[in-house]
Amino acid sequence: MPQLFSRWRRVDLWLIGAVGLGILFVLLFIIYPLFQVISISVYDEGHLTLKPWQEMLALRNWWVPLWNTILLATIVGITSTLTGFIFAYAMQRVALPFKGLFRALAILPIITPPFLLALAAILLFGRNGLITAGLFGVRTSAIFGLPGLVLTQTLSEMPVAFLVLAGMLGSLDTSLEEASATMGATPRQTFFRVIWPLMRPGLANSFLLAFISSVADFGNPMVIGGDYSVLSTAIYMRITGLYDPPGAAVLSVVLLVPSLIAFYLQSQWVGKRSYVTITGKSSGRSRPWNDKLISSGATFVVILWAMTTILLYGSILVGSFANVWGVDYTLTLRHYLFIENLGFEPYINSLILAVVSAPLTALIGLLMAYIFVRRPFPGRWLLEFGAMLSFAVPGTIIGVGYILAFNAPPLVLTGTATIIIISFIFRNMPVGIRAGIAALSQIDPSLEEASAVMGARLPTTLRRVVVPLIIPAIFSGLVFSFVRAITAISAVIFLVSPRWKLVTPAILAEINQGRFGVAAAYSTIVVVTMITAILIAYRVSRQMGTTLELQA
Amino acid sequence: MTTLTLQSVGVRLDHVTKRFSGGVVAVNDVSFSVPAGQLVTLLGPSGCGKTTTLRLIAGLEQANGGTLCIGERDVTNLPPHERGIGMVFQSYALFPHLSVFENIAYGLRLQKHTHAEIRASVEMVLHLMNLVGLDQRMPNQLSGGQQQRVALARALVLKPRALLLDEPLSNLDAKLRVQMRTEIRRLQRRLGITAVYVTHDQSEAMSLSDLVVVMNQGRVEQIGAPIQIYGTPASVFVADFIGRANFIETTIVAVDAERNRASVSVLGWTLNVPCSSEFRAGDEVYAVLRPEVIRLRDEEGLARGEVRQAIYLGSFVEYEIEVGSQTLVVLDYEPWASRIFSEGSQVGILFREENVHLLRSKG
Ligand SMILES: Nc1ncnc2c1ncn2[C@@H]1O[C@H](COP(=O)(O)OP(=O)(O)OP(=O)(O)O)[C@@H](O)[C@H]1O
Ligand SMILES: [Mg+2]
Repeated sequence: MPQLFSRWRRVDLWLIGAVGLGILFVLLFIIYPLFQVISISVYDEGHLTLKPWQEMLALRNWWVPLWNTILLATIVGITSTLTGFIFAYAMQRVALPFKGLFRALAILPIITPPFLLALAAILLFGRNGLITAGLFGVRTSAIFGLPGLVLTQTLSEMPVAFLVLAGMLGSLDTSLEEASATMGATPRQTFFRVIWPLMRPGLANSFLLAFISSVADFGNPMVIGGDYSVLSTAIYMRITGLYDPPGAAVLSVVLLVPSLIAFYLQSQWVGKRSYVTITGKSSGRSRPWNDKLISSGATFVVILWAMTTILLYGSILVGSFANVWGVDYTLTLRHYLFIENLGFEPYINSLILAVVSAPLTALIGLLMAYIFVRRPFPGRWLLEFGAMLSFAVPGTIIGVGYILAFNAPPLVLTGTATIIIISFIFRNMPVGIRAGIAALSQIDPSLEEASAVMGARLPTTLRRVVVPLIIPAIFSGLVFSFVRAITAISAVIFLVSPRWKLVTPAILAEINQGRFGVAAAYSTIVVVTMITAILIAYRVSRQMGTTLELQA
Repeated sequence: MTTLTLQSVGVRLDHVTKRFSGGVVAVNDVSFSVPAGQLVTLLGPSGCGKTTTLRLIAGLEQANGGTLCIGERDVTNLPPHERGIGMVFQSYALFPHLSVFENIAYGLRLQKHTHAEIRASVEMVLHLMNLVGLDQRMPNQLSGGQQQRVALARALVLKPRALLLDEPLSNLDAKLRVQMRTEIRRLQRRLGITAVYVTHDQSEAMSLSDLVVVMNQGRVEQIGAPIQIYGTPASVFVADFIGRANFIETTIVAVDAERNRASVSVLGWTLNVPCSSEFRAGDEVYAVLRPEVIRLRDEEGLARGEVRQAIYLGSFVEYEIEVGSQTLVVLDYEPWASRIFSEGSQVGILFREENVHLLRSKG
C-alpha cells in the first residue's frame, strides 16, 4: 500500500527506523538461525541432499524420541491442566485459609529453574532418596524416566495452567452458577453442567500451553529422563556427544512439527472460542452452598500439592547442607565452600547478563507492542510472525540455530556474552511484548494524538506521555525478563563458553557428575536470589501503587 | 395448547438480618410477607439491600438471623436448589453455551422428565413468552428484550412456587422497559404468580405492585399499596424518595382524637387536617404537601406567594413559589384550565385540608 506508506512516512521517519530495525533483528536472530537449521538438514556442500534424513530413518527406533516427546507432553498437558483447574477452583470458589500461601507455593516453580524440581525428585525418590531409600528402604531408579518427568513437568507447568484458569474462573459471571441453583441444580450438577463446559476453552488453552512447554523442556529430561529419550535431549546429544549437526538439525525439524501445530491450535482456535464475559463483579467469592465432595477434594489436592512443593524445595535446601545425601545427614557447609573454591563466576555472569538483557527485552517488547497496537504498516506481519516464532520454537532449536548461524562469518558471535544476551532478548521477547501490549492498552490513543498535535515527535511522545502511564506494566515485564533469563537453560546451554559460564548449565553439570550436594547448594543460592528479587519487585510495585502482573 | 398452572404460595420474612464479612449490615431486621399470587416490589435507593433481600429469599445468601418461609415451609437453612423458586437475574444469566431451547430445558432435564414432556413444556412457554422460532438460537444471537423473555421463560417452565426478579428490565431501553413491565404484570396476574420484584425505579414499582416495600439502609421504611406509599408516606424518607414533596415545619396546636383530626398552622392559616392517633398537641411535625395538590389562583383571600420560577414542560408547568420564608414546588397539570403565571407575579395558593399529610419531624 504505497499510499499508506507515504502518508505514514511523512508522519514519522522515526517509526520507519524502528520498524526497519525490528524487521532486521527478527530476520537475523529468529528467521536466519531457523533457516540454518532447516537448510543443514537438507543441504550439504552446495546441493540438496536427503542424507541426514535417510540416516535418521535408518536408525532402529528412530521414532522413539518423537513418540516419547508427544506422549509425555500429552500426559503433562492433561495432568497440569487438571491440577491447575483444581487449584484455580479452590482459590476462586472454596473458602480456604492461607490462600496467599497456597498461591505463592503454586507459583514458585515459575521463578525457579525448572529442573530444580527434577533434582529435588531425585533427592526424594532416587536411589538414595529420602523417601524411597530412607523411609521405605527401597533402592530404585524407577523415578528416572516417564514417572519422574510427569511429576516434575506437571509441577512446573501447573502454575501457568493455574494462572490461565484462575483468571478465567474469576471472570466467569457468578450469576450463571446462581441461576443454575435457582433452577434446582445441586452444586455438583452446576459444576458439571455449567462451570465445566464454560471452562472448556480455557482448559484446552492451558492444555496446549503445557503441551508446548513440555515439548520444549530440556532441563527435566536431562536430569531425570533416564532412558526415556525425548527430542530436546536427543538434539543436545547429537551436538555435544556425537558432533553431528545435520543429525541434530533433522531432529530439530521433527521437534518443530508438534510445537508449531500446538502453537497454531493455541493461537488460532482456542483463543477465539471463549465464552468468558468480564462482569466487573467481584470474583473469588465462596458461596454458602458448595458441594462437599468437590470442595473437600479440591482442598485435599491443594494441601497435598503445597506439601509436595514444600518437600521438594525443602529437600534442596536440606540437601545443600547435608554432608552426603542419603548416607550422612550431618550438617555441613562444604558444598557452599566447594562453590566458593570454584568461584561464583557463573552465578555472577548470570546476574550480569540477566540485568543487561532485561531492560533491552522490555524496551524491544514495548516498541514491538507499540507498533502492533498503534501503527498499521507494510511488513508488520513479518514482525508478528517473528514474535510468534520466538514463543513457539523450542529453545533447543534456537540454541542449535545460533551455533550454526553465528559460528562462522559474516557474524561470529559464539563464545561471546553478546550471543547469550541476544538469545535472552529473543527468547523472552513474548514477555516483553505482552507487557507492552498490557501497558499500552492502559492508555487512550487520543492522549498520544493530543501530544502529536502539539508538535511532539514519536520519541518525545513516548517519553513524555506514554512512558509515565505504562511504567507498572513495563516493570513487571522487566522483572519477568530477568527471572526468565536467570532460569533459562534450553538455548543457552549451547551458547555458554569457558569465558561465559552461566549458573543453570553449571548446576546441570554438577547434577550430571552426581554432586547433588553442590547442585543443591547452587540451586539454593539461585532460589533465594529469585525469591528476594521477586519480593523486592513486589515491594517496589506496591509503592508505585500497582501489583506485579504475574507472567509465565 | 395447555397453559401453565402454578401452585403459588406466600413468602414471609421474619426479622431477617444479613451481615457481610466486611461488617456491612446489608439487611437489618427485615420483616414482610408476600401474599400468594401477589406481586410485591422492593423499592429503595442504591445499596439499600434490595438485591441482598432477594438473594436471601433465593438462598443465594444465608441469613445471620431471622426466619424465612416459602409457603408453610421454613426454608431458612435450605440451599437454593431445594427452595422451589424461580429467579430472573439483572444480567439474565443465560447459559452462553446452551441454545434457547436448552436454556429453558435446563431445569427440566435435571428433574429427569422424558424427552416428550420436556419438549412439550418448552414449546408451551415458548408460546407463552412469544419466543416461537427462536429456540435454536444461542443467547448472544438474541436482542436484549428476547434475552429477557428467555430468562423469564426459563424460570416459569419449572412452575416455581414464587418468582424473584432483580431489576429485570434495567438493561432495556426506556420504551421496551414500559412495554415489558406491562407484559410481566399481565402474565403475573393471569398465572397468579407470587412475585418479588426488585427495582429502584419508582414508576415501575407504582405501576406493577400490589404491595410496595420501601427500604432504606437495610431496613424496611414502609409497606403498603402504591396509593398508600404515595398518599400517606410513613416517614420523611419515603415522602422524599417517592415522588416529590413540600415539607412545611409546624407544630400541632390541638388534636381531636375522636375524629382523627389535628389543628396545625400552615403558611399562616390554621387548618384542620387528618392525622393518625399517635400525634399529641405540641408535637413538632412536617405538613407534607405533594406538588400537584396545590392550585394557584388569582383570587383574593388566599395565602399569597410570589412566583420565583415557572418552567413549561409540555404536559405540566413546574413552579417555584416563595411564601414567606418557604419555597414550595407546585406542579400544574392543567395549565390550560387557568393560566400560566409569569415569574415575579403574585399568586394565591389553594389546597384541600384532606391532602395535607402530617409526619413527625424527628424520628
Ligand atoms: N458480597 C458482599 N460482600 C460485602 N458487602 C456486600 C456484598 N453484597 C452486597 N454488599 C453490601 O450490602 C449493601 C446492600 O447491597 P445490595 O446489593 O443489596 O443493594 P441494592 O439495594 O440491590 O442496590 P442497587 O440498587 O445498587 O442494586 C451494600 O452496601 C453493598 O455494598
Ligand atoms: Mg441490586
